[in-house]
Amino acid sequence: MTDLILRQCGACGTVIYPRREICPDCLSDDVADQAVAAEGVLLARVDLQHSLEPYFQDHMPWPTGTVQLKHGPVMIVHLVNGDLTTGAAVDIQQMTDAKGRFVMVAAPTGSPAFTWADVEKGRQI
Amino acid sequence: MTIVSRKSPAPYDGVALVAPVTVPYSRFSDKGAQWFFGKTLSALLQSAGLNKADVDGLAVSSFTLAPDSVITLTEYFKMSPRWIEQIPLGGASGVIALRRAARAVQMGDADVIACIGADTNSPDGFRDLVENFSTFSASSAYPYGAAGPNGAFALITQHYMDQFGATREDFGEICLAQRHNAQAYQHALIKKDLDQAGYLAARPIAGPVHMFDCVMPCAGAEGFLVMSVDRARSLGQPYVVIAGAGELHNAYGDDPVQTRGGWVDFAADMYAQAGLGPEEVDLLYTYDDYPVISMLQMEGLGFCDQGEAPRFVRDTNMRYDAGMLVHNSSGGQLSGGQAGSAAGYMGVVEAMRQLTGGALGNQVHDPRIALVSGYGMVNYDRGLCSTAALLKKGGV
Repeated sequence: MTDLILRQCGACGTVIYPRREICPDCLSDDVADQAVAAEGVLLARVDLQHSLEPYFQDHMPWPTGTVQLKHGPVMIVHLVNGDLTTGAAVDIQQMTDAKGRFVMVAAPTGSPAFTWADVEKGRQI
Repeated sequence: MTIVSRKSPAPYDGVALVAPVTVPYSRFSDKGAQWFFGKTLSALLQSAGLNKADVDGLAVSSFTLAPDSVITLTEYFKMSPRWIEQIPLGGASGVIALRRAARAVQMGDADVIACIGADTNSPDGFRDLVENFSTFSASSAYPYGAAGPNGAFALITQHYMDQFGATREDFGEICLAQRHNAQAYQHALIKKDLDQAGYLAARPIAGPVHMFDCVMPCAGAEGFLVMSVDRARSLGQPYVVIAGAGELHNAYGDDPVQTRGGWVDFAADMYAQAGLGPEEVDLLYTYDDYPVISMLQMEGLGFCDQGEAPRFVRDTNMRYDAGMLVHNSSGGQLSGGQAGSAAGYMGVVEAMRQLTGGALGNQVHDPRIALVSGYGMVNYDRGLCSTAALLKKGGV
């Protein structure tokens, strides 16, 4: 699994997410993008049935979840595999969504590589 | 973080809350937020028998007032206050406004402070607010389905159900009791009969969150005056006093998913300040943006232990006319509508009406003590603000 590129504090080592220019733990501004293990645990998951954006409205239900990375941060993520259950070990993949936003997608640990098209179509991988 | 010693807050002696005002809500409005502020201010003056020049303090909360602010409102309404405050804290705004205003009155920084939460709502207003709510939300929450608060709270709700065994029926207890209360309250927007079967059959929105777990964004306003007890008496106004209060923000931020808020930390001090306990509370007002959040407040404020709120709501008839602990006597936001920042003032205003015997169709029999709780501001995956105040009936 490819590492994630996330902000990390050069002074205290904290992995920072959501993105900040100052470390939330030690307040250092010595923060830079670093490779971080993409492993985490799924803490909660829901299928969205309603969205404020037409793109998602056209692709309901849309599975999302909360993942805690091994290195600490909690991420809201897209789920590529609709069968994922709470407590599952997941890997996170960064990719560009249909609107060009850089987003996080969780898949079961050891899943083959996938694309945004797989996420969009709700494919089981 | 270790707090070595924390000074106890001074009591709120000598402070009166006067003239609860609600500007009736509407689903949408073509009026600006300023109109809602003006209508509230006018009603406050009329209710208290004061002139505009008597108001020398102004605290406001609004999501739709920008680019205007509290200072532009002073010119809009030709006022010259010596104390102003803007509290952009959503569902925590009302209790925070009363705390700030109470201290200003105690210290002599102002004599009569108008506290107002007001918002308008246009058909695209809610999406615009959600999309640009905060930097974290825009970068790290909104792109994940553009579900707005429904998405974040669905995850919190599902996690609470997984952890503590809560069911949709338990959430329904809160919603059904509030619908009953709304049917009696003059200004509630949603009064249609709702039973458990109808609640469970509602349209799915996000995971366990269905239609009747969500609030309807709308336009409206709520306000009250803060002044000295002496002033309230000289005006012949019924009033309410603050027996105790507290707030704590971004508490338990290391909990990976929110299962509690700052109430857990400050509730004991608040009750001690008031010389009261949860068993003496007649009226409970939680910030009910979603029923699970009401449960976190019931737990954090000592009505039951963590994870016990599902049992608590099953065992407690929370209807305004049931003679037990009354919860959100006007129907709350779930049946009354969420008028932006006014929603954060709703509990304070309704508690004041109830305690002074001025309820609008839904009067509880002789209530003495109300507890109003605030919660708000989802920056990323949880609400950050927690606050609460114990209110008591004052003299006339």
